Amino acid sequence: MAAVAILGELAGALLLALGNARGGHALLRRPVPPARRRLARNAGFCLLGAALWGLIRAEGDLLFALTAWALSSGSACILAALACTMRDRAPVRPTPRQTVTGPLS
Amino acid sequence: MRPGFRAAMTWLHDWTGILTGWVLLAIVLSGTLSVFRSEINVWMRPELAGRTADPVRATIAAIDWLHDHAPRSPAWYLTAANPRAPFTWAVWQQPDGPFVQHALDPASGAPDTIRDTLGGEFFYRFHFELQIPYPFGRLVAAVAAMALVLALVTGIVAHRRFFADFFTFRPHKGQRSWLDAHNLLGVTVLPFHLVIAFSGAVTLASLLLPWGILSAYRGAPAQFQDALSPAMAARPATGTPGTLAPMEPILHEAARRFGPDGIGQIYVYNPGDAAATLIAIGGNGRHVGFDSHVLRFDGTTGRILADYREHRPMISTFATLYGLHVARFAPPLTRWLYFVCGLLLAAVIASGLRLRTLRRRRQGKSTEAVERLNAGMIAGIPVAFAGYFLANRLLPATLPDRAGHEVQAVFTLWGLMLVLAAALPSATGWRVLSVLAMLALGGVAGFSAPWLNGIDQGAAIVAILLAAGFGYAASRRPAPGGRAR
Amino acid sequence: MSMLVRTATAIIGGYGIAAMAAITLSWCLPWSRAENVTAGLLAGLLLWPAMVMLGFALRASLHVCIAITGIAAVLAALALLGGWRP
Repeated sequence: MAAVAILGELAGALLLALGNARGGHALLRRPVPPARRRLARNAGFCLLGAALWGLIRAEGDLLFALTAWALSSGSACILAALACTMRDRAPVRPTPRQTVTGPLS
Repeated sequence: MRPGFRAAMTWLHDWTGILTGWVLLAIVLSGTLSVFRSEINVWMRPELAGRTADPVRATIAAIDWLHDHAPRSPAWYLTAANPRAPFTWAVWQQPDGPFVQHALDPASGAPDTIRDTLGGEFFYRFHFELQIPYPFGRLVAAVAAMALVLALVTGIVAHRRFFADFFTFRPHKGQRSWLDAHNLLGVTVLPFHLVIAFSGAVTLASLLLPWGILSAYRGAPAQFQDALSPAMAARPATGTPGTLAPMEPILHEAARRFGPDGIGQIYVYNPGDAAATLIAIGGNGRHVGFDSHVLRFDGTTGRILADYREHRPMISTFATLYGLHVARFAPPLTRWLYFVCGLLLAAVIASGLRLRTLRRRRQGKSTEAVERLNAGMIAGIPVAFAGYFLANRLLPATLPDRAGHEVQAVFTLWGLMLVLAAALPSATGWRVLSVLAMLALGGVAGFSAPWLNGIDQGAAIVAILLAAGFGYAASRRPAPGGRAR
Repeated sequence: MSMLVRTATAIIGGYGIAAMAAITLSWCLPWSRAENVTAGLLAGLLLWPAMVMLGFALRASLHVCIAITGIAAVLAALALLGGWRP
């Protein structure tokens, strides 16, 4: 149960990254329209919330679950950011549509 | 938010960070290691590998040994054996004042079979006492904790743009990369950082702000401690000699009342006196708060004098904050997350120190001296701490005051690293110290051989990962606008 | 120079307010003595960094002095009402 919750957090963190202008651009290698980003962001928050619920069910103690959740979701966000970084740096296969390869800056 | 406010908060963030950064780095790193205090205790006593201990039996053996070897001591403080640590940790006061501490064998109760070392207790003590005499070390740590709270809160204002850049880390871009790393690590684990900083101050609160206690208790602050944990209050010695009651029924009664919590600590006050008192404290691995179930026994008759559980909401709040900091409750996953987040906090502080020098260099100011000291601290502390683990395996087992020599090794190494860093140009210094850190950590991984149990494997994996990090730092080409001059 | 004055006021004045708040809560809260003192400790720890930030947020150094003295005076008055005698 705890493992499922943490996988959920990882997925949630990736969705949050997709919902961020720069993060989404890095992951999908093209700009993501704002409406989709909002959708991804909300889904990400929902998944994080569901993970908290799952941890409360698994741990049986609210404080145990809250500490585990706060710590693991933070680490999940860092992993998501690292994923964005890797994706951002990886060589891009040249396709006709791909004109912007680097980050926005 | 008006610009003046943000500028003021940025100024405050910078200066708090610079003035307390190095102290905080040492505190955070030793605190992070303290998360695995029990595991380090076992790693540093390979004699105990594979042994298990029954807490009641081991405590009886320890009390029997102390009864023969320290009968005139005013107090024995025992931490009972538990599944994480198969030995009794005993601290006792000698009649003339100084404290002695030893790990006692779970079967014989004697310290002789186990090498003399402080183990993880060194990191735990250093974390809030900094090897400075009482109360100054604790005051420095308390002020540093408050400064960390301040730096974190002002940091939210100073780096308020982080949400726009949240999910990107742009490497190889000099100052930009350091800022990204600082923000990313700082923000994602911010709740942990805030809680750990504030609760750290809470653990030292009565020392930092004694005024409420002094005024409400009219200069008798000991009464406050008694009121906080009513069952722990000891009786004064009568001066008439007495004999301790048989321990077995007392400890079995304590174990029965504590149930699944198990026995945490046993304190015996005035063991040779007619008014001997035995305090049994329940383990607190099953709830977050630091408030345990406490029993007080009459030491000579074995009668129960008090059975206390905390129910006052305000004291429970305090105990919960305290418990969140010391993390006795943490199951393995949470414990590892505490460890990782502690390392991340150290990384936030180190990257903040680095950012500061980069920004000043960009403004055309000389930063060489600070850079050298940064190297001596950021890479030097890991070398010194790894050196503690190495000294544990390298010093001969029969050396007199072995535990003291291990601790000396840490500070000698740290001093050497600082001297080395100060003597070399900063870019070379970084590289040399990183290589040394990599070698020392590699040594720790090697001494964890034969990697049969979870503790050795965990120690080796952590040491190898950190060594890889330092190896990467040493091999890196200076980034544009970064280390190159 | 003005930054030095401001820093000193914020840190020392902030500590003063935190200490005063600890005393005030110890005397004025309705619970047992140990609980009141504990509440005072926690409140003091929260107030100190908050007061330091206030010291830097206000525009003029004079305002900082006035604010800190004012808050300390209010707390001291409450403590005196609660039965505190320095």
